[in-house]
Amino acid sequence: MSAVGRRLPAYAALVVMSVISLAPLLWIWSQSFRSSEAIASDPVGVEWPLRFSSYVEAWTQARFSDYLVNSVVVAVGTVAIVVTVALPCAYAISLLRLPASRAILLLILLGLMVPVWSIIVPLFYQMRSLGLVNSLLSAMLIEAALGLPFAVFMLRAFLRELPMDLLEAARIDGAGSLRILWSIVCPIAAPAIQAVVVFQFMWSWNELAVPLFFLQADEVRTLPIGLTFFQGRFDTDTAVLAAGTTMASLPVLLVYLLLNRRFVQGLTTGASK
Amino acid sequence: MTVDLGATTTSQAAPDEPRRRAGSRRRELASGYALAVPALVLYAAFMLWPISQTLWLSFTNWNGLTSSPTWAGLDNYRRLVGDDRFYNGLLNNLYWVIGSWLAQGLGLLLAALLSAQWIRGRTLFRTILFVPATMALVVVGIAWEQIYSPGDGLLNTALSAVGLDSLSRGWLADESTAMSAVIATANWTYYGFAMVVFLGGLQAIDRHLYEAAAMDGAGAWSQFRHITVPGLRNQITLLLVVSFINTLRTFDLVYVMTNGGPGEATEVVAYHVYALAFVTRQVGYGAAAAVVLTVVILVATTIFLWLREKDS
Repeated sequence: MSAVGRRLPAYAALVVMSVISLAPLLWIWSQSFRSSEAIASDPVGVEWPLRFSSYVEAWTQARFSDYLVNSVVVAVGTVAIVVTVALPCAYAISLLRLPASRAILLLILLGLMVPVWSIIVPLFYQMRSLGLVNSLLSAMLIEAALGLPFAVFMLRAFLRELPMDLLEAARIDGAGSLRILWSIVCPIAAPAIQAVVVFQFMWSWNELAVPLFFLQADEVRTLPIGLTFFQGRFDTDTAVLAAGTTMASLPVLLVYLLLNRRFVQGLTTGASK
Repeated sequence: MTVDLGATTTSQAAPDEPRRRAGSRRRELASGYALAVPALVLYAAFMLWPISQTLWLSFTNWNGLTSSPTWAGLDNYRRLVGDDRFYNGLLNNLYWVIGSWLAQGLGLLLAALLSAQWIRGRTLFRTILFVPATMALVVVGIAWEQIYSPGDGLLNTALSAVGLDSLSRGWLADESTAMSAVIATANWTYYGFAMVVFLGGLQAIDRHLYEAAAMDGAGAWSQFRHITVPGLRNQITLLLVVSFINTLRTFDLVYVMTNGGPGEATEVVAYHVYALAFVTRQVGYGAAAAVVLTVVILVATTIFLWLREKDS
């Protein structure tokens, strides 16, 4: 087969799959600039000038401004908690030769397999007795506990490859474990930490089950929860729903496009170890 | 994914300074455990403790409202064995697992295409194809619900544009297509992930192997089978395990798109558990279903990883 004969189908397949990957999102985004009546009469199309009133309605009447703030707070808080507790833990079980390292790792890996909705009911009563239902902190703590296993696993896989000599040298110079963690391990592990940050942010931003149960009051809802309620309330108003969906999808898309390489790097290092 | 759980290398203490060494080792141990404690506390409080509570609740009857659960022994588990609705959920989960293999295969194909040396625009294609994997399932569910919608959905519009009006229907309202439609939506978010994982693996395969095989007269299929697939063993294992775990605990798309309907056509175990605990208020029974599914996931994953490790 000639080179062109081989290459053309390959490019065709990639282009078709790219269209499939983007079309559903572009379609929803385009609806947010149209009126529901126009969408009903012609599902695909764009009218000029673009109309922004659906965004105004979503932002003010549907409280999307609040949901956006809540989503940011929960995602950033969860990322902060996960990194702060997972990094020292991964460092301790990978580099400090603890006799219990293996046991700790196995215990934490168990969390990768437990479905969140199987622990939701007890968690709900636990949070209620702590007075944390409808507080953003509850979602952060639970999402952090759920994200911890992946973070520890990933960081450990990376830290295990560090040269022990370097740490030995620092120790002989009198540096304590915390000091070594901060001034040697942190800078070297920066790529792995960034990958954890990116993934945890995405998961937390997209999380449905946890905020669905723990952030039920309107003023603490995150974007995905806001959207599901919105879907029930504005069922006929396709344009406003599309505007809300667009607002929920753009921030994570932006993070992805900016830190694209971290996503890829995280998945490839995580997978090969 | 070879999960090497062995402890890290142990160092040899220098014979001339045993006491100083012992002291610093003790300090190292103490600080090591201290560093692990915050993670363990968080994990114990919001993961291990609720797991133990779920386990306990599964042996009780409770509506979630009255003051306390009553002990029921193995009643919930006995009832589960004869519950057709539970099996229906489990079967839908299994259908979903098998359906997700299509996405993994597609991911492998896309990765193979993108790693061809003559491909232009590799980064652009990779970036675009991974976009669906970054989207919230709520967003995905809402978008695809409209694509499938009976009147003016994108799918029906596209079908009538190519003259296949006869096929158009309410894809999520029709019992025979609803589950497949939800799985197709899930697959839309899976292939980009698989592709990126495979791309990483393909980069690590030595190019010379292919050149040598080509000189020996091996065709594309033979090269794929004898070089590519063995070279991607770790990635294939990882994806099979991850997709197995994730599809068995899946909840979001069903919640957003169908609520398990029509009838119970798209009900997965996660949604059944949710309905038991929060709609029909049978908390103990829901807990038993959750425990069974978690055990299924644990056992299957352990066997899979164990076989894999024994194999290598």
